[in-house]
Amino acid sequence: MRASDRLSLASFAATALAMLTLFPITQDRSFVLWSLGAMALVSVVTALVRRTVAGEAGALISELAVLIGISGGLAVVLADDLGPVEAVRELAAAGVHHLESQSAPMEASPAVVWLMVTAVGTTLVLTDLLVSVLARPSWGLAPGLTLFLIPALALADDLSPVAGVAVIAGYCLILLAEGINRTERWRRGVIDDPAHPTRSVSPVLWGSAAVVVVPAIALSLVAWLAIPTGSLSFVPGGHGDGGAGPLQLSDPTLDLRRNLNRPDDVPVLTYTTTAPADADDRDEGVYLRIASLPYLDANGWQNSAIDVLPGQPGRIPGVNAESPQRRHTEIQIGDFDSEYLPLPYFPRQLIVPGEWGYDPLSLVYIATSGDRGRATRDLTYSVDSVDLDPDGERLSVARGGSPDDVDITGTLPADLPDEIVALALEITAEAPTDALKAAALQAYLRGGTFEYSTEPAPGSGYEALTNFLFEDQRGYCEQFAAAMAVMARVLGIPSRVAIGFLPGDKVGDTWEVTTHDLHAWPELYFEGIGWTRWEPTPGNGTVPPDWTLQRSGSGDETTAPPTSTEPTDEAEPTFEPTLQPSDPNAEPSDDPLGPNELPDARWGLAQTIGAGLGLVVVVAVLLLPGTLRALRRRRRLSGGGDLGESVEDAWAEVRDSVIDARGSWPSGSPRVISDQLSTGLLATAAPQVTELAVLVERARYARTPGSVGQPELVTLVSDIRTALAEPASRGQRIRMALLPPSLMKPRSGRRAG
Amino acid sequence: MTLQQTEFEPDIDAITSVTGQVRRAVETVIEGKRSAIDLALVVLLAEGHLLVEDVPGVGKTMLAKALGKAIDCSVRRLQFTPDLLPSDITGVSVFNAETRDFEFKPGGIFANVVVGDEINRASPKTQSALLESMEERQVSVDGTTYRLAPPFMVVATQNPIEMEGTYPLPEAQRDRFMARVEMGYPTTTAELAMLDQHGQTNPLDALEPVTDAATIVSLIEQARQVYVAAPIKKYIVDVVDATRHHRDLRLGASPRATIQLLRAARALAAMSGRDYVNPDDVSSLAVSVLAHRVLPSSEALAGRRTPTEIIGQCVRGVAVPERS
Repeated sequence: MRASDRLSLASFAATALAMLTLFPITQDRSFVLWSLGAMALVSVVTALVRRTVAGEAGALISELAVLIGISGGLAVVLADDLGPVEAVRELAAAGVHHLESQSAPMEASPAVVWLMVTAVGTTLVLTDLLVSVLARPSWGLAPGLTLFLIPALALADDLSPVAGVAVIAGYCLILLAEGINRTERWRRGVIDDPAHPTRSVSPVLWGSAAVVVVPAIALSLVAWLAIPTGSLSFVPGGHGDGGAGPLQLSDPTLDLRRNLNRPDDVPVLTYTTTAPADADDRDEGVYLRIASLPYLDANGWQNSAIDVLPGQPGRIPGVNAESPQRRHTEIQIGDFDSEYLPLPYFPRQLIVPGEWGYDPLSLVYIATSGDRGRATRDLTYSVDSVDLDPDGERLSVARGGSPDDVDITGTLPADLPDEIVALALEITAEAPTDALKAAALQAYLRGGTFEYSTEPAPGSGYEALTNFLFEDQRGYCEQFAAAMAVMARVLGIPSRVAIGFLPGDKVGDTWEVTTHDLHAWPELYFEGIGWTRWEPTPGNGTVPPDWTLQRSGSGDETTAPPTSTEPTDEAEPTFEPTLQPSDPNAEPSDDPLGPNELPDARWGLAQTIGAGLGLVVVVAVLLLPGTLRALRRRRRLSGGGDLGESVEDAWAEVRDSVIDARGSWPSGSPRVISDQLSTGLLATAAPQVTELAVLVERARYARTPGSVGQPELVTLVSDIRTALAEPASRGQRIRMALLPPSLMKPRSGRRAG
Repeated sequence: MTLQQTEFEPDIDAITSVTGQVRRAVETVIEGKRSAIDLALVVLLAEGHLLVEDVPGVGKTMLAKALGKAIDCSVRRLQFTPDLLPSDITGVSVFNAETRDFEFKPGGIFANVVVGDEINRASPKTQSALLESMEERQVSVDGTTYRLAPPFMVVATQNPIEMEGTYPLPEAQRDRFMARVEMGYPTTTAELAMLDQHGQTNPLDALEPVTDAATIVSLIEQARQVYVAAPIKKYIVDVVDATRHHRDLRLGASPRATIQLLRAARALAAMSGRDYVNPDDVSSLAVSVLAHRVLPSSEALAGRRTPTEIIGQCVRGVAVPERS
């Protein structure tokens, strides 16, 4: 292995390891593949250029050119219908906004993917610059460390120690590679024995490297764990309510904002929970519900008068048949004062010291005697509950029901501002059923218009709500939950706002819940299903419950928040890629460097040629997939075989074109596929799709295949392809032409199933 | 092409036009139940028998009667009760004093369309008399065999509620029915239209025959000639086989089910105007043909997974066949 290749490989590995530290800050892992691909391309091109006369300068230039090409190309791919420059600008702005408005782990966003790939690529180029170009391997830690700082600053104490170890291990690899190179140089100089050519590093060096590297990693890990982080200390916050003192919670909303805003995150309770035997995910925590606010007026969501009953919880409102499977939870409360008992929903049986009673409508437990306000302090208790996760498909067609307290939870105050009513109706105009309307509300609130922030004025009254919905568009869980609950009532779905704790963090077998886990969420009531939890608050790590994301049974309506929107603006119908290979205008070299002349780092003709070659390689690599795809299309449409074969080829071509345009191909028989395409993507070419599907069907299943000539087949396919391209934006069409996804699909035969 | 003596190109146009007329005629009596009517026609063309399960009053008997009348065939209705005797179904030899000889009095089964109402109310012995005649299309009484005139189709109804004091058909006997259909309640519009129609007269009286038994017999013969490609046969076998390995099923479908699924698919293809069966024929009939023959496991019952859902899963789990 050449010395420069070894260093390149070490830089690659170090950057890849540093990239792993980015894992916790986003939910979308697709940047990993993109980054690895980009890094591989950069490394390979650089290594090739280094072998030419272009030398280190050429390598650097080609490295940068490849990075810019990848970054720009990816931007064009990810941002539809924009040119490279606008796409980069747009994605950078969107990415920065995303970073500012969300907290880790962020939701998937193409802008973030682009930012990360660009950052990782830049890190590789910088590492290579330091390690190879400037020949200063010992500085090679800096770029990886910079990458590592991103999650370190964003996550602080949540960052796994492994991340730090990864960066240091990468650095050790660079040092190791340099060490091997040095040893080889040294041995060449001293032992010039032709009988024993030095090919590889002696085992001694490997051993000594291990002696250095292993303790270094171990030491960094120990240091990491030993240094205390801020979250573990109980420093009273400087906020006005007497620091980390007892947290009163007589009105359950009062402390939400204050606690969410505290700089210190004080643990309030721990619990262990055993999921029922039939649970899907047995390793999940539970939402602990404290209170429920069913009453709405101009001052916001409030408690209503409650009849408190003693004993074990009664019937679950709205639920006819409950699963016999129980979840067992043991809860230990520490420094937390409340008259409400945190309980998983729906509680069925509890063993708790003290005197408690429950509200039969909300199943909320309230202290009934003694020092009620401090009833939960240092309390240890256990509860059996049932997990009633509604079936998403059933829910998607459910109607808003009428619970026993419908006169409270189903009433809309007469003085509710009209603009809120109008907004609710507007958001849900498209949704066919009540539950899908609710899902539309949730998607709207999570959709990116609103920003999670604990800064806005507290409250859920009309004023706070209109301010949140129409002006400020910033809020925290209370506003999100209140807004969704109010709008659900506008639509006739009974609703209430629940206050409680998020599941918290798992430490060993125990879940730890802190003040920052205080949360509010809307509960909506559906006929035949009962009260269901929804999650309209974006950006604090919460994910909407599964059942609110189900596809409805019949339509194509998805209730998931729209992650990407189809561009609708018109673009000229052309398949011409705008990224033409720009030929370098370098004239052929008449005066190459003499064989004895050492290439040096000065920028000269040779370097220009090297850079030009690098660019050509890049462009060729970029154009390769599209070319392969076009060749495949030509072969398929050339005819030649028997009729059945030709029809199958035409069908396979349509399948690949659909995959190129949309990424997926329906499953089923030809007719089923054509029905799906005709009602969706290919509505404008429905007759052609149906005709081809019937031909395929006849070719496969009938006694005699239908009669059709090759020219007609070609016309059918090209009509369908035109219809596919029409609604696509320029960016999409370039992507289809340059990076056809159908090439990546496993070719389980040319048959389109 | 292999020589098969009876193979000929089926007259698909005749099948679609006649079945279309029959469907329209029956629809004047039963509104908004097109899928049930179509399934009944498929079963008729495929020489099977139909099991209709639903609550009382949704038109189970009406469907059978209208179908029989529209094809101008004899219709007999047998009301199954615990005291119904096998001889009430097959017939009995009676001594005729004038001729001084035994004379055969045909039972209720001697008709083209036999409606067996609430079949689960009769004793198992009586049920099996009906089911034997269904399978063999003939009746043997006192050593003499009487053939039942084609077309012959039994439409048995079962009421899924009020099961007390009844004898639900055992699985082996349910297997004799080609398909099961659940009528379901009509839509609001259909029910309104029904009020208008049934308000004054019985629409069954106004129903005029649109074809005759001989035509139906010839159409049955035509439907048998619908082409089934090898991959489709494999698909049918795969779908049926999937029911035998599904973890929610204690008992999968029988080889008889395979044959009947193939026959029904042929009839449906012909009714849809095709001289070949496509995978959609098979998949759309799978639930009707298979669901009543399988036994869900106790876990499935506890999880409220119905045979209909499970058969749907089986069908979705089998890849649609491609060209061989």
